[in-house]
Amino acid sequence: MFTNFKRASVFLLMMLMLVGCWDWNELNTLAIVIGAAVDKEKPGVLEVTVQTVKTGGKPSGEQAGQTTNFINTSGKGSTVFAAARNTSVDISRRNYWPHAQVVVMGDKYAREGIISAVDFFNRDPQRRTTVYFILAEGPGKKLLSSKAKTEDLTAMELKEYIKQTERTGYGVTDTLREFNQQSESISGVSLLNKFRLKKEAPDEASQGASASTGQQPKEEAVLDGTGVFYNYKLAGYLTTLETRAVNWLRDKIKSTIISIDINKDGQDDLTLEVNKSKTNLKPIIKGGKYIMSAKVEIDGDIVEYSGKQELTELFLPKINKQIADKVAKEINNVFRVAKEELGLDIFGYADKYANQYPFLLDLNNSDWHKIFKDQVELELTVDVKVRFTGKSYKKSD
Amino acid sequence: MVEYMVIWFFYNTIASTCKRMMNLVTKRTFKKPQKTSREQPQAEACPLLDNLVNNLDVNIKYLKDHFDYCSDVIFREVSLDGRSAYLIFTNGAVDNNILTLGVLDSLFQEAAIFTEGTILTEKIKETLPTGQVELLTDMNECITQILGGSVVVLVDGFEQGVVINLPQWKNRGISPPEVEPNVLGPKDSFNESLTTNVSLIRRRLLHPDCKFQELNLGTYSKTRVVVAYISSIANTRMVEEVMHRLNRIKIDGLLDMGFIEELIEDAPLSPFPTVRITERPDKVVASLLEGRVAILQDNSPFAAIVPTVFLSFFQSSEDYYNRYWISSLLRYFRYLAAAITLLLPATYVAATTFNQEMLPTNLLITLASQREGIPLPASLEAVLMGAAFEILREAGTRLPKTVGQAVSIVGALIIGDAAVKAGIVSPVMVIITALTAIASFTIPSIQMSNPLLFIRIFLVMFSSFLGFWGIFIVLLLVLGHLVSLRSFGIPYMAPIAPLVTPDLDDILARAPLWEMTRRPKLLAKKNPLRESKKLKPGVDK
Repeated sequence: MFTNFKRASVFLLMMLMLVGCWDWNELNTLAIVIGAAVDKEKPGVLEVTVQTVKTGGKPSGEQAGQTTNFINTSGKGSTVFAAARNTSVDISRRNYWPHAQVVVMGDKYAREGIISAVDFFNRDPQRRTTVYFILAEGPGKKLLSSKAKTEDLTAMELKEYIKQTERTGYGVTDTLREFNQQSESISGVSLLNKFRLKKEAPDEASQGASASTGQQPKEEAVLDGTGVFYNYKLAGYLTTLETRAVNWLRDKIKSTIISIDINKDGQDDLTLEVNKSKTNLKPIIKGGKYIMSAKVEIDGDIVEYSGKQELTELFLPKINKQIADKVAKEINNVFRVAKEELGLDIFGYADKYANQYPFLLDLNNSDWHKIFKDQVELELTVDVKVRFTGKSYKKSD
Repeated sequence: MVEYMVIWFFYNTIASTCKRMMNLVTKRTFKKPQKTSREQPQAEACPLLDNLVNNLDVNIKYLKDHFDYCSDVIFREVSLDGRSAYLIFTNGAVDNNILTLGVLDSLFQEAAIFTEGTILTEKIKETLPTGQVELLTDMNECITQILGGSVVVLVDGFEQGVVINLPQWKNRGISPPEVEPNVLGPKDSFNESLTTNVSLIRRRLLHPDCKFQELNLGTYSKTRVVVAYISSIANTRMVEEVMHRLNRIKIDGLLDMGFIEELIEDAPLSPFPTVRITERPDKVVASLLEGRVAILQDNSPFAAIVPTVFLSFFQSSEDYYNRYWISSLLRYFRYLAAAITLLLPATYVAATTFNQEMLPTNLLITLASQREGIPLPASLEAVLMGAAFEILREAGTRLPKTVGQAVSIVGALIIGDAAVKAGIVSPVMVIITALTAIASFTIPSIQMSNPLLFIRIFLVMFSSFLGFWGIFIVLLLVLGHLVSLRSFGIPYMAPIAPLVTPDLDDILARAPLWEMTRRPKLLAKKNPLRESKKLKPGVDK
């Protein structure tokens, strides 16, 4: 009995030991990839730039963790994977991808289609679909080496910019997972945040510092609207305000700011902070017309007011109306841009219609866009409610 | 069955090696190991004299032969009303004061009672006002009584000896508990005297149903062992089982409760204790009231409580003296602390060497920059730091108090600070080791923190080559082992597995006293209610 026990336990232990350590990686053998950029170097050649955390080469002990910085390494290859693997020629450690936060697409590469990069991130479990894809104005590599202001790592900073757009509505907060869904929908249109580089404001102290070190990246990234992708190819751009309007139509606004000129003196004097926004979309097909009835409900507080008139109860409906008009104008404008200039369903209305009218599921992308351009119309109502004026107002007598 | 494999494997390897080495030693030194080792070793034989005879000289000669070279046994010859008599007692075991004032005085004054033909019993009752007095005719009993702290008076011409029980051993006083200290609640603890310990329990249970069954164990030590229980609550068969297991013990001497614990426990190969050891009388009494059985022995300041379940090691007696809100919260902290002390180093190893994707990015970057330049792999670091701490702890426990302080200072400064500054250990590993150590002290019983230490080592080992998978393998084996254990018939993981819902009020929280109306269901079927059901203050108004 016990000899069997002994044999079994020896066998069990051996078995456990035999598998041992095959995916054993000490932390200091890894290069933690925090961001990447994909660029088109020349026809047939892709360049992948990988941003890794620089953990070594610093004073050890107490100062560790404070002066973290990054290293960008580039590799070239015919495919994204090949190029990414070739970056390891430049770096002494294995690239470790699960913590990648952003992937920047160079605009040249984006125009020719980013399907290879998307697949690179979707197929291998080491890379996650919670990564943010970003569009750069110019090469993505340059954006990735721009100056990080608040964070230690540029990629982290870019990610934080995207998160911050929740407060403004000026960008999209979709991760790769949502990007996939949108791209594979009937309309096949998806949006990616676009960043451009801005020259850093001249500052004497930092100039002196950069002159002495000579290596500081001098440009910083700025969020600059979105890029519209159709079938994974860059098809056009939207400004930040247009992006906000799109977000309104997609019911994705969490918070934003609207300012209006209530006194009509050429200077905005009332600011509304939107706390809650809800867009009810109702797709209707009526007599060959595809009518999308959108009802936008906005709740907000007045956070700044410098007008002459007292904020009275009677005055509020006028304010509500004026804000609603402004939002409606913004939205109608972007709907016109989508229909006439881009000719693309950037609002993802194809799926909304298909939910209601399943025969639309059989359509392919171009069929739908024909319908979109010719038949889809927007029926917009905007409802604004000012909840809180920030100061007790005088009752009108 | 599986859960024993690992334990059995190591145990067997070690045991067989030891056995082989022992064999070598015994063969060389003693040539032939005794074959009859199973039989109880016998004391040196003397010419037998079963009963006292009426000739004092014969009796005394016999006793003197027996107590040859026993310098502590005193033969004092006195003359009682012209009759020669002997007082025989052990020096230091008898209360000298009472001996002189209470016994000797009375004897000399009333020496007339020792006249031939009188019935001693009645006379002595009238004469001797102190001590537990009895008459003996059995010589062997006489010897035991002399050594056990009695004065034996032998008078010429009588076949009976007068035994006056006046034991007074040198005792450590009743001091506050050292191993299980508390803030609230009674602050007395057992000491090495069985009589004191029994009286400490009796003082709390003034009911005749509280029984103390006594037996003597140990061929040479003749240790008095007491089994305490409340006959109207405790399961009779459980008491019988305890008596049976105690009677099995054939050993030369019992030095501490640990001996009995090791000889009666249910799972001798398991690292988990199935017998609870405590130095607190209040805890023993609480257990007796729940229907458990306590074992006390002379010369040990600890009592053993059986049966014992796993989760009782996370209960402290102070829980019941404190308000139930804070006690319940503290209990959860203890569960958390047990999880930390068990899993933290292994989780760190697994997360930093196998599953880095499970850490939040910022934490990973911090950890990575801290591990930069550390020469050892994380697993080895964890093992070494854990070993360093255990060494420090052991050194601190065994050393005199003044030196112990120096050790802890040196340990904290050199191992902690200097090792980090020198870049040999990463700072986070120091934090983890410290947290693990502190968390292990949160468990009220040191009996439970020892097995957790064992399993922690296994966990670190397995996680260092299998990652999280290894952790789960070990945890499953341990869980499987735990649910297979029993302590005197009670499942070790009760009331969780098997689930005994009414008993959970003392596990998931410390229920208010007026809500804990029932005794543990598995223990006290005989007498399930412990209090009136309308105890909640304000209910009767």
